Amino acid sequence: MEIALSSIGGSMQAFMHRGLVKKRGWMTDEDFLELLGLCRMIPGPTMVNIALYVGARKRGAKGAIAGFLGILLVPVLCAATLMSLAVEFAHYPAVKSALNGMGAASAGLTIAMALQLAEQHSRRIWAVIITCVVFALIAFGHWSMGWIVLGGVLASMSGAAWQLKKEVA
Amino acid sequence: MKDASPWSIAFFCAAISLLAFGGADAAVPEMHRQLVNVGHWFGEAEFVRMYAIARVSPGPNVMLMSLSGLRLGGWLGCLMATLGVCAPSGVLILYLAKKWHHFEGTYAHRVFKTGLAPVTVGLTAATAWIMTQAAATSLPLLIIAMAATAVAWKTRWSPIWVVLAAGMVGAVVGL
Repeated sequence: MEIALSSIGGSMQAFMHRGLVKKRGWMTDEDFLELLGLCRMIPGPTMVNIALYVGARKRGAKGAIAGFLGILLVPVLCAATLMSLAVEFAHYPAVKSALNGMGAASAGLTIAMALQLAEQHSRRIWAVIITCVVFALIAFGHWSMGWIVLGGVLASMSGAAWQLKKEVA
Repeated sequence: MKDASPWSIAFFCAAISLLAFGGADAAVPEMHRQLVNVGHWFGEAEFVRMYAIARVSPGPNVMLMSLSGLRLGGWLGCLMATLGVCAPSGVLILYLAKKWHHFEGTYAHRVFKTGLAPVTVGLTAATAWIMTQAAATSLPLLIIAMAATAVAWKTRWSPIWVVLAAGMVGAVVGL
């Protein structure tokens, strides 16, 4: 179980999907999508939650622990090794340049992710407004994010409730 | 570097995890604010570096928290950070797992789902903004960031290759 999960610990949804649905047949496509939706909805790390859930379903508490360790152990060790290498060699100009480039590319990936999400979800004017307000407050204000997120979620839920009501009517 | 107590690391990570609607990346703005701007635990450059390494490492995006914990409190810090960030939602998911079927498809569920999306988009956009400001400190770096954006947005290449390619370019050209 643990080995199984660590082998698919490659984080990204596609890997997870292949490992859980296609290779092992532990769940159906539909189950997977449903679970993914649920894990996305609650705050916190999406993929870790999927591993926890699947582990718990299969083997109870033991499974949950195995899933948790399985998805995190190897990656943490990898990341820690890379990190210590980076620190060790950071004074070489080439390494420093490489790290700078990687940082910039990572930022670019996040921009792309934001664009993709916006393409999918920003179809309604209220949604766009809330997205922009949340963005502006966090990016340009210097307040703690807690209140902004809480306010944003409440406002956004109201918007959603209003939209759904209109659709029904 | 100052040392942080393992418990404070765990609590910090648990708290930011609760804000992370839409995955671990959504917590980045608050991490950046607390760790770089307010607490001065990390410099801007070091934060960017951890972010990049978290991105190329295989595994979930929580690696950023694990790495911060490692830097601030050694292996124990790393463990506490990882547990802290996973605990709140982990408990929630194990609890919800059994009840979920009753909830699926109801009105409340749809409101929840439709309602969270705009916040997630906003959080991701804020993460993008903050990380770009932190990382793209020169024109060539900005160009790399934009190129990575375009590639990741319009093609299906794995993000890891994009980041590694940028690293190669950096090593060869010097940035």
